[in-house]
Amino acid sequence: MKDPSEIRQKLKQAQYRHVKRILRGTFPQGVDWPKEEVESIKDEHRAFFQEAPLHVIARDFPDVAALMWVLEDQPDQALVVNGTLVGSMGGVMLWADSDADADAARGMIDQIVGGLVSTGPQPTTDHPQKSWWRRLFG
Amino acid sequence: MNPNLLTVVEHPYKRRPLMLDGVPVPRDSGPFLVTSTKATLWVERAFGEGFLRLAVRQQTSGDLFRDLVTEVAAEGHRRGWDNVYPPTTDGVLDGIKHLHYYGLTDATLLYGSEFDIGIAPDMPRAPADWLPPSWGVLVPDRAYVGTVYLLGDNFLGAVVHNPSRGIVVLKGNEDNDEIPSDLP
Repeated sequence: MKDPSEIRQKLKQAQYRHVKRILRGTFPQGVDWPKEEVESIKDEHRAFFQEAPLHVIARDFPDVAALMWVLEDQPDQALVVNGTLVGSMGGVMLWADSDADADAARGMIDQIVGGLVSTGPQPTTDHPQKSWWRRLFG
Repeated sequence: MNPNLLTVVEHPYKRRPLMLDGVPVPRDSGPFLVTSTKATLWVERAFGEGFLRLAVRQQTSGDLFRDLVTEVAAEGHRRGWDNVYPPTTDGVLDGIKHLHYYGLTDATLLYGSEFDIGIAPDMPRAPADWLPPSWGVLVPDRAYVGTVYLLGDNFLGAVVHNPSRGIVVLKGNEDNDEIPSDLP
């Protein structure tokens, strides 16, 4: 397990990497970049990473959002170590009377993970649209 | 060179959870492939403004990556994503074109132990021992394709986003295509 301070360091590196990439996409190589504009872009993104909600950061910087998310306070949840304890969700411990019941409960977890949307095959031939990545860096 | 399929994030948990709830993802980058308690699960849309739940289970990250690539190849073929190609020179070039179409110009080739890297142009590459031996994968910056959260002792939860755009599978032989030695 990483120490939170190590993760914070990784977070800084990820933010730096993205800002550097944006600067490289904004200004031509081989010439001096205008200092004021560079600082303005850096300040803008520094403020964005500090103030924007996580889901907004995740739109364009999912790796940064992932690191910020793990640094948030996580609820204490116990590891399942036997056949009857299924685990905990949202702080509520889940127990089952038998291994079969535990399996059924784990199936329920999968349904929760799957959300409201069917997990079965949903054929579509729609070609995906161009991504935010291209909008940002293209 | 980074041999991982996804961004790797070590989770500083206090007690290891069964499920990662409220994991942020780019909202419009589905369908998402997430870990379930026993395998993987396709989730069509994120909930809320862009969050998902991931089940936590015990598996090495290499085995997980292999499962994810196999699943993305199967789903890509089924849905006509045009992201599955043979491990040939033309296949690699078509795969690079696929990524370029989405503005992903920073592709890396990850390749299995029997993949002929001579068929690929000069590009960033890394051996990936988790791939089926004759397979390869073209991926851009891993931030684009997802995250695996490591929780110690090989417990993990993972999400793949942008599978149709960001993961090109150079699909070689299936393991089960091998002819058993006891056949004539």
